[in-house]
Order: sequence, then structure tokens, then C-alpha cells
Amino acid sequence: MRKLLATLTVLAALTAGACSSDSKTTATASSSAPAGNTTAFKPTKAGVLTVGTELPAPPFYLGDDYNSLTGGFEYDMAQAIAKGLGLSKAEIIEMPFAGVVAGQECPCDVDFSQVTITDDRAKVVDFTTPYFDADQGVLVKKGKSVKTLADAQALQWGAQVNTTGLDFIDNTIKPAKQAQVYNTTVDAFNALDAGQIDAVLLDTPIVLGEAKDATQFEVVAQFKTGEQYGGIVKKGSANLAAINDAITKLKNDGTLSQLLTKYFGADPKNIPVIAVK
Amino acid sequence: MSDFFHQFFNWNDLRDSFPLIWEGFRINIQIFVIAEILVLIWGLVLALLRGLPGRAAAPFRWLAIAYIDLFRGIPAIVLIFIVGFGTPKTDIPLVSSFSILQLGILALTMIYGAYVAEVYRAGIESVHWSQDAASRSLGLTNWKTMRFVILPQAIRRVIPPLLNDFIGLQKDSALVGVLGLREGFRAAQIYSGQHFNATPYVGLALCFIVITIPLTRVTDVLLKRDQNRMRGVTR
Repeated sequence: MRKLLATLTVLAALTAGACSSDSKTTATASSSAPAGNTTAFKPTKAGVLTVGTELPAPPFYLGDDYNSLTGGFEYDMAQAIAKGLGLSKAEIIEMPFAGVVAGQECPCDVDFSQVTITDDRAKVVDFTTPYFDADQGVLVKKGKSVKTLADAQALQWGAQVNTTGLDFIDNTIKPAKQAQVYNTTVDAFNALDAGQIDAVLLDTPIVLGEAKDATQFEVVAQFKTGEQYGGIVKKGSANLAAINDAITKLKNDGTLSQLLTKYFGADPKNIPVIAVK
Repeated sequence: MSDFFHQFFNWNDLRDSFPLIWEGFRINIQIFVIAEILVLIWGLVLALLRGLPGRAAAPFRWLAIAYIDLFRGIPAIVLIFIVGFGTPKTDIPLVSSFSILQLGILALTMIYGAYVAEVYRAGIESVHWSQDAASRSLGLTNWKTMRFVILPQAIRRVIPPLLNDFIGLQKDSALVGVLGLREGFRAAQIYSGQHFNATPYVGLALCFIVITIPLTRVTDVLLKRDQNRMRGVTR
């Protein structure tokens, strides 16, 4: 969450308030070799894939101790990538997020920390191929249907202050009634539960996680903002192609989709997308 | 130093954010004006209940005392959460169908009603007992004594502390934003978050000050006039 906010902060700072959907993911690494080829990979620490991140980050990493994590979306993905690279396992080490996007050297092979790929960041670091679509998910009480932009405009929206979701409601959905704004996601979920708002717009993984825990809610739709998470490697790293290959393999053989269902209750790809002008 | 001025007194940000803040501040005005009227009534009811004479009225006195003790002790923001997020999920008649604005006003009225009840009580108790004795001996009922003899004197005396509580109430109207209302503070927060500048907060502070400072001066004038009257100074 903090990372998503920080992401937004950096975005907003650098684009001076421009709508976040402008900053598409053109920076995505495109140098990956065709899947199936094993590209040479030189690990920092022999025999293991060293992965940097910052805890806590459920459900991307389950646990608070770097040495005794019990699972998580990015954790399981890192283990699968390690296997794909012919290494014994992935080792998770601490790498603060602020340092990562500032271009600080990570004593790791790759950093998976729910980092949104942006052009500005891609000037400082190299991103792997994206592994997670962080669009804006529509959370409602079960039974409410939101299928079109017109449906969305008729709702009483709620959002968290200073998030992509609030910007998106105000500037793109433009509902008839002004969106209500909350300090925390928990307050917004509370208001949704109390019936004070019809829908909450937040990053898809956050609302999916909430709908998994609170069974009275469901995620009925999403808006594409083009935000995607990518792993981070050193600028010009020779290992990028090998990591990209491994991620692409996990995408193609359905592993990533399985992990999404396991940790978020659904693969965001299966949530209907509402088109906007 | 220029950083300081840029952060807090940036003319462009003040100008650009002001329409949004003003739109939000109008909600604050709505909240505190309605709440102030309700608080005046509710506080008086509580004070009168607390001052009821006789053994038969004891339960009312106890209830009033319990209410005042309880609601003066709860932080405003906690009660706003309890009322704002809690009651809509209940089946309390009327209240559970209130809008967020109404719930916020209700929470502030509950808290400030308790404060103001004590202000009224101080005023009522400050009227010398001989006033009560005299009017009762003239044949006025207890209620008429209160209505025509005690309260007119008591309320005049407590106007300055009442206005003091109103200033507090006006400022606390910004707390209702936690329920999702885009009042002045929230509007300032949104602009500030988008432009990384604290000037909108200064703009909002000015809005509050423009209302509270004249009110403070009026309070001072009333206080002075009251003192002069007490000391027999002619104007």
C-alpha cells in the first residue's frame, strides 16, 4: 500500500499532476529472448537467486522476517523463477523501496516489491517484463452490478485520499455525485459496508484482497490504467534477459495465474474491464 | 527562506486551490451553524434536567449527569467514528438513515451539548439564591421562576463562555471529513497531495480565522460590557 502511494507520489511529482493513465509502460524491457532458450545467468551469490524487497507486504510476502517467509505471490514467483534459472532457491533480503527507485545498488539479483513501471524510473533502473496488472478495481457489496461507464457515473463513489483511484474518479469517471474521500482504505471499506457509498475504487490487488477477506464484498469490474508491476535490476544488467525468460515461461505455463488465484482469490485478467473514452 | 514562502505562501497555489477550499469550507459552515443551534437547545435541556428540584426528579438528574460526564470525556473524533460508521449498520429509528453530514452534525451536537450544558449550569448557579426565593415567594412556579427570573440573568452571563465553545465547535467541524465528506480540510489535503505544497492548508486556516477572530472580539466586547454593568459603570 505504502509503495503504491509512493508510486503515485513519484508519478504525480514528475508529471505535475498529469493523469496517471498517460504514463504508459513503454519502459517495459523488450530484450527478452524467445521463451524456451536458457540464457546465461550469473547470480550474485552462487547457487541461489537473491531477491530484494521490503516487508511487510502481504499477500506478496507472507511473514515479517526475511529468513522465515511462508509464501506470498512474489515469494512463490521468485522461487519459481529460481527453479527456472536452474538455481536451488530464492533468498529474500531487505532492500528499502525508497533506495530502489532512487537507483541505490541492491546486493541482489532482482528486486520484487510491487513497483509500478514508469518511464521516469526506467531512467534509473531496468525493469523486468511486467508480472502483475495493477489496474483500478471496483469493489461493491455483493449483488450490485457495474457494467458500463454510465453505470459507474450513477454511483456514489468512495476513495482513499491521494490515490490513483480518487484521481481516476474525479478526472475520468466524473460521476454525478462527488466522490467521498477517506483517510485509509479501512475507512472506505467501512463506509461501503455501512451503505454510505456504493463502490470503492482502489488498486485491483487491494480490493481483491479485501473481497477475499470480507465475503459481503466483490470486485465486479476494473478500469485499465495501464499500471503494471515489474521486477528491478541494475541498469544494463546482463541477467535481465534470463529473468525475463523465466517470467515469460511462468506466464505461459499458467503458474502466475495460479498464484494470483491462490493469493488474491482471482486472476485480475478475469475481471471485466469497463472502457472509458 | 524562499522555500518557506514557497511551501506555505505560494500565491499561485493559493489562488488555484481557493475555489476548491471555499466549496469545502461551505460544508464546514453548514455543519457548525446547524450544530450550534442544536447545541444551544440540547445543552439547555440537559442543564435544566440536571437542575430539576425534588426527589421525584432524581432519575432525570442522574441521567443528565451521566450523559454529561460520558460525552465530555469522549474525544470528538472517536464519537464521530462511532456515530458516523457505527449507527448506519444498526436499526436505530431515524438516525440509521441519516446522511453523513447529518451524522457528523449529530456527533458534534452530542459532544458540545455536554460542554454547553455545564456552561449553562454555571450560569444558573451563579444567580444568587435570593432571586429564586423572592420569585417563589411572589407565587411563581418553579418553572416560571426559571423561565422569567433565573435564565434571563444566567444566559447573559454565560454568553462569553458559550461563544468560546462555539469557536471550538467551528474548528472541530473539520473532523467530520473523516466520514468521507469533502469539507475544507479534505479539499486542502487533496490539492496539497497533488501539488506537494502546503499553501492550501494556510488558505483554509485563513477561512477559519476570518470567522473565529471577529467572534472572539465580539466575545471580548460582551465580556467587557457585562463587567461594566456589574460594576455600575454607565456607558
